This record gives sequence, structure tokens and C-alpha cells, in this order.
Amino acid sequence: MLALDAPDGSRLGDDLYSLYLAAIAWLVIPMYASAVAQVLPSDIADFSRLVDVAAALAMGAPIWFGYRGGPFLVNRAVVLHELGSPLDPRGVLAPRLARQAVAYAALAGLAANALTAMGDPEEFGYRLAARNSFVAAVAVLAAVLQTPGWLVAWKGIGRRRPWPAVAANLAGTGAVAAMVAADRSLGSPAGLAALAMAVALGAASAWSVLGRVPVPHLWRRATALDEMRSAALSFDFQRVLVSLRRAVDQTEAHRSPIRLARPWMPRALWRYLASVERGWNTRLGQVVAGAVAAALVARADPANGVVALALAAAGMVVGFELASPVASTAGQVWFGVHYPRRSAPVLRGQVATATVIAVVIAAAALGWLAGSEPVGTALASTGLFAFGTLAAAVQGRLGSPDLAWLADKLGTMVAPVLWIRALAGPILCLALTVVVSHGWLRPDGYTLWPALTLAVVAATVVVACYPLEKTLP
Amino acid sequence: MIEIRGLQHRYGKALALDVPRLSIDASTVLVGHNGAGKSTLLLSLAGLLVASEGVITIGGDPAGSPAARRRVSFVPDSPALFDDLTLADQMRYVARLHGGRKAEPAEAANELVELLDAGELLDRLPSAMSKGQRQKASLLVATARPCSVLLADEPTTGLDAESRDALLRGFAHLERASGVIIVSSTHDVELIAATPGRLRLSGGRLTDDAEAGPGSIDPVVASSPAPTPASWPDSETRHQPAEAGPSPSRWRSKSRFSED
Repeated sequence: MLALDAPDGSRLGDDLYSLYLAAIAWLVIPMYASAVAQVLPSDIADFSRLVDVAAALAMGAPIWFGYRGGPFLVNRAVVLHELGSPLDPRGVLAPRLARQAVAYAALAGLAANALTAMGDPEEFGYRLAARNSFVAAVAVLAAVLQTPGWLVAWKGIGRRRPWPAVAANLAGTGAVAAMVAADRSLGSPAGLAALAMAVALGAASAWSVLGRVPVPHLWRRATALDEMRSAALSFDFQRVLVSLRRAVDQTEAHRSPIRLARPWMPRALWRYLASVERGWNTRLGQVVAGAVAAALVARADPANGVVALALAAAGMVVGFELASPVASTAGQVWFGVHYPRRSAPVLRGQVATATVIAVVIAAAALGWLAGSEPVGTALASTGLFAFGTLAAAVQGRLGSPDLAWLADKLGTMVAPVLWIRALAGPILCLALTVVVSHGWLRPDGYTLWPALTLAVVAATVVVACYPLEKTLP
Repeated sequence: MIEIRGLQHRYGKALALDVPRLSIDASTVLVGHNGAGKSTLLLSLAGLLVASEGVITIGGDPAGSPAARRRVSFVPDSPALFDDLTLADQMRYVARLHGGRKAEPAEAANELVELLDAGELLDRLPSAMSKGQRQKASLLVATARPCSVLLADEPTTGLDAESRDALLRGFAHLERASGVIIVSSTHDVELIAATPGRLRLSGGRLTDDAEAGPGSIDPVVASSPAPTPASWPDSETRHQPAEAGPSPSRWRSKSRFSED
């Protein structure tokens, strides 16, 4: 198994990205823990049923994941040299599949354990947690093993499709689904037998198709990954530098006529509003978010955790919407958080992984919350609103000029700086959230609401208008 | 060696490649403007892209089949290297992938190390190499294992004049010593002039001068506006008028930096 000796091509950037998302989750999820706990069933039987249904649904997911590209995220060197060699492709891909299947199964088990821990500690003991974790882990193991079969079925080269592998996948999923449909527990001997059968059939399915995984598809994904990294590490920074240099040297764009502008409109503001950078779907999302936020502020009880969640999301939208036009009107360059085109397929897997990590971290956070005094939910929701707004302003304005300066000065030191930039907003939010959550700004009732909101707006305006490009060399 | 029949590829509705019939039995350079279909054709030959229609065979085996991929080594336009292995380890690893646990890099690759003056790169990780050095490393790794066809997508991109000339010598050496057929795409006038065969693509199709005699300079490429000295410091060397003559010895005689 020569391939086992090969490097897997993992990059520090991926790990840092996961940590970044986990850090954000660590900041936010404890705030929502009470909301999650409210929607979980309180009866043991219902809880196990929930896990069984989730497991059955997870086993249907490989059909979609196979269509979207399957479980293999190999780099171009692996595709060129290992899959282009006389080695049996199974020797190259099977260890990677096994590693991913085990990793996802372990994470699923941890997630189920964390979910169970959210339940009533008086009722839910170790045995229940172990049962749920085991069911979730085995179901996800089978699901990941099924994915190559669906990948080859969807993306395979030529007309010959791997029908035996598809049949095996369907049989495994069907067995588990049948148990759930028949109201039989997956923790029972019959349920465990169905899960075991799904794993065995999934493994057989994977083994039968690993030699036929479409190499062009793997190459395309690997190239997309490289392009994303290259774009993130060069194009993004060059764009920032060019934008800043233009802002410093001559703001030609501000002086050029704007097609749809009217004389009575603040020109830069109109340019922002008429920008073609955002599609109708983004605008629709903003309108919906704004309407929801308005309704929540007017009618809902911010003590409810779900309301707090919505407020934080709305705060983010408000923050971006506020900081961007204000910065434009003030003649300042504004940097939205964005990723290069075509990065979505690659990021999706990382986001999924980071989300699972976040769930695990949430379990630990829940333990901390359970042992501490109740957080003032209303104040927390206010803090979350402020978090979203100010974070958006910070993310949009800070960091990038520094990044540009460092990119210009340090060259290869760019990658760590990217992450410092990305973490700048959340770090500030951590401080803010801690302040709010500990009640260090605690007034009575909701009297802080208008004052804090105004303070956030003022801070956002200051941040947006500060001429950061002066920091350029 | 390479046979193409009815090859077509579309990106969406746009026709990117349309090659009804083509045989390649000697080293060939693909020329054409950006978007002409050069890279698409190379990827199809390497089995890394499934064409919408048509058949490609390499040594009688369909492109992309395990047998064909073992005959073909590919140098992509941006280097594909293992991040965690030094160049020497990468060459050894690729050699062993093809030749077993005790195999060593092909002799041609070792000679190429000398020709490219890449000895100092052998102990370096890709992260410690410049763009041009990574390009050299990519070529060395690709040649570390035996192959009948070497596909190179714009291999001179990012190389300085000296390295480019060394690369041309390396290609000539590979062709002469190992009988490797080199199919490359390029905008580099020197490489075009030095390669015996030339195929010109435009809009995905082979144009009338596709069968132009080896060694001649494509008029469009040769007459393309020269970059400004500021943006292309080595432009003086790049745009020297090329002499006619198909002999592989031209690989050697191009460079003013040549040691011989």
C-alpha cells in the first residue's frame, strides 16, 4: 500500500478555516443553547425516535452528496501521479475513504452525544447517550461508504452505470428506513442488524466502484481547490491593493458620471444602492431579514432564544448594510467579506466539518452554561444585535488595509495575515459579548436597547469613515 | 501514437474544441490565442477531461484509460506538487509509484536536473521555491517516471530566459535520448520555432496552417505586439526572429546563455 505513505496534501489554511468557524460557533452557540434545548423532546422515547429518524435521513444524503462530487478531496498531485500510476486506484482512494468515514462517524457520534446531553439530565443517562451516539455513528459510517457508489452513478464516464453498487446502496438505506417506518428502534437487535447490513453493503458498494471513480471529476475538484487558494492568496490581496491605491491616488470613480444617479441623490450612496455586485436573491434576503428584524423588535419577546438568534442575524445584515454605504458616502473603500467565485463547492465540505465541530464545542459550552447563573437573555439578545452590527462594520473596514500593507511588505507571510484579518471581527465580538453577557453594562429592563443601538450605529459610522488607507506604505 | 477522431468539447453551449481527425507521431507544439482550445486539447489527451464527443487513443488505448494514463505524463500550467515532500522525494516517490518500491527516478530526469541546473532544488519543499522553480520541479517530477508522451501546458510560463533555454535543451534531450513525444502548448516563439511539428488552433478548430512545416514561425505569433521592456524584461531574448530549420539540434542552439 504505497499510497498510504503519500502525503495527504492537507494545508494549514484548511485547519485554520475550521478553527475560525469553530471560534465563531464558540462565541455564538452558547447564546442559543437555551433555544435549542426548548425544541428538543423531553421524553426519552421521543428523543431516541428523533435520533432514529435523523439517522435514516442521513442515509439518504449520499444520493445528493454523490451528485455534488463525492467524498474525495484529493489534490492535483495525487490525481496526476498516484491515480495515473499502475497502482490500483482502490489502494489510493480506499484509505482516504476509510479515514473520512471513520472521522465523520466519530463526529456524528459526538454530535448525537451532545444533543442527548442537552436533554433533561435527570432522565437521560449514559446508556441513552451511548445508544444514540452509536446509532448516529454507524448510520453516518454507512452513508459515507455509500457515497462513491452514487458518485460513479452520477458522474461516471461512459454509459455503463454501477447498478450493483446502486442496488446495494438502496438496499442498505431501505433496510434502515424500513425499520424506522415500522416504528422499530434502531437500538434494538433488529435495528442494529439493519445498520450493520447497511455498513456491509456500503463497504461492498464502495469497493466495487473505487476503481472507476472518474479521474476528470477529481481533477476538476482539485483544480477548483487550487484556484480558490490561489485566488484567496493573490487576487483578493491584489484587488485590495489596487482599490486602496486608487483611493489614495485619485478617486476617479467618484468623479465619473453614474448612469442612474439623480442630482438630488448623494452620488456615492446611489452608486452603492445601484451596485451590480449583489443579485436579486441577496436583495430579497436583505428585505426579508429587515422585515423579520422589524417585526421582532416590535412584537417579539427578546427573552426567547430563537428571537435572539434572529436578532443577531439581522444585526449582521444591518451592519453590512450600514457600514458599506456610509463608507462609500464618506469616500472610503469598503471590503465585504467574500470568497472567490467557484469556491463554494470546496468551502461546503469545510463548512460542514466545522459545523460538526461547532456542535461538539456547543456541548462543552452547554455544560458551562448549566453550571453558571442564567444569562440575562434580553441583554444577551441586545448584545448579539450589537455583535452582528459592529462585527460587520469591523469586518468590512478593518483588517484589509493592514493585510494589504503586510501583503506588500512580507510577501509569503500573507496566509497567516488572512486569518488574522478574518478573526479580527470575532475577537472584538468576543469582548463585546462577554461584556454584555456578564452584565457589566446591565441597566434595568430594556432601557439599554435604544442607547446601545445608537452607540452601535455611531461606532459603525466612525469605523466606516476612518480613512484607513492612510496606513498604506 | 496519438489518434483523434471526431473530437468535440463544449463548455456549456460554447464550442471549445472541434478536431475531426488528427494523428500525432512526433513532438508538436500547439499554438493559438487565449481560448483557442490548447489547454482543453491537452487535458483531453491526458485523460483529465472527458470530451463531449469523439475518441482519443494513445498507443491504441483510449485516453483516460489506465493504460493510456501510464503512457502519458502531464505538466499542467500551474505546478501540481506534493506539498510535504522535497523535490528529490517527489521524484523518487513518482518513480516508485510506477516502478515499484526500489525504483529510482528515470535517467532522463536526472540528466534534466543537470540541464536545468536544478540541483539546489532537490532538497527543497515546494513552499520554498519560486514560481519558476516550481515550474521546473513540476517538469522534473513528471519526467521521473517512464512515459511515451509528455504533455506540457505552457511549460515556459514563469521561467526566465536562461531557464527557458535550459528547458528547450531538456526537451530536446528527452526526445532524443528517450524517444518521448512532447506535445506542448505555448505562446513562446522560441519553443514554437524549436519544435518540429506545429498545430495552430483558433476557436477550437485546427486552422489551415496546421500542417505547417516544422521549425517555421507562426506569422500571427511572431508578429504579435512585443511587450514593453518594463513589463517583460527578457523580451529581447523572447522575440528574436527565429531561423527556419526543423532539426532537433535547434533545441541546443537557441540560447545566448548556452554553455556550448
